[in-house]
Amino acid sequence: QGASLSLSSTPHDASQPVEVTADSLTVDQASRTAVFSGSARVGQGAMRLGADQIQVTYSDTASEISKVSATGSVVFTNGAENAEADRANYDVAKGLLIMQGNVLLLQGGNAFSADTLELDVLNNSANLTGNVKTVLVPK
Amino acid sequence: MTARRDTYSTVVKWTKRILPLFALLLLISIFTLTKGDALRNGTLFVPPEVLNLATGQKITNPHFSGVTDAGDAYLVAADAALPDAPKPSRIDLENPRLEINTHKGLTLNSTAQSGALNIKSHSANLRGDVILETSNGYLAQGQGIEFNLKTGSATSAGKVQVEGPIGSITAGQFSVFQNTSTDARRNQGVLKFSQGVRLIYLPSERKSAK
Repeated sequence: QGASLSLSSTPHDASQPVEVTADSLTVDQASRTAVFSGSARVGQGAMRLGADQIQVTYSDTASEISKVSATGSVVFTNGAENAEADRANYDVAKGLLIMQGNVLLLQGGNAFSADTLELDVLNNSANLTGNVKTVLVPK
Repeated sequence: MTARRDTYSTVVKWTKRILPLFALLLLISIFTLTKGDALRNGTLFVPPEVLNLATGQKITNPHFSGVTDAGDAYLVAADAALPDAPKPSRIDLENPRLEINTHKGLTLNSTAQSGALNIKSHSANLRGDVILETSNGYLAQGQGIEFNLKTGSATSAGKVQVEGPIGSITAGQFSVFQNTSTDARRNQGVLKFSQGVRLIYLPSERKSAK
């Protein structure tokens, strides 16, 4: 069974500077990947993505990103909602952030746990699937 | 409702924009200059007068030039060169300058306080306020860099800072090497920034920067 919900957060300004920090960064051109490893953090405005490792695969023209994958205690926030999982994949073309493994989504006073969280970026909605449990945090 | 709908559509824009910053990284990879094999048989032209000099005789305004197999023209010049022997295995350089005009029409200029060319070990280094500028607006700075001309790799001596039109990177150390396990036709360059990396990307600059 699954649960879908729409998400709220403050409008995000995508032209703000983006900061990425990590222990190291390795760019391998043959495989067109850039791997930030060791407490990797990407931030822009209120949006934050953190993980042990964030790997970016870019298109052969190297001007567009085709995939972003984060592994190891992944945390994501947009300032209003927070989500945690073991790993996350972001498919840029489809605008889908898929978080998997011990997923926890915190929204306002509610917490949801599930196997998978699919954040549909275009339609501003989220789908939780697999062992979905709602944990109502007492006020 | 619309405010919420816009929020997430910006994530798409964000990710689309944030990561062309890797074009910035690719530009830095030009530091690998040429493919490993090209460097190995790159022509390191050492003028004859350098070769038959008594030890310690200083040559003023030396310059070495050549073109690598990849067609990148390079010129190495210095205020002075000090070979260690008539048939030198090492040449120390004062205020060395390096200029490279890549076959793609990009110009790189590098300067440093001192440098050395180790002919036998196919290596070179630059020391002291090492600066590298590219004609498309990138500036890299560090205290030193070691080149292994045989393998086409280079390692910085300590911190590096690279700034460019669309962003900047600082790291405790930088190295670039040729991953010869991948097939030669593809660009084998691997860049490694380590000991703490901080990268800033300016999406708003992205549009204007070419």
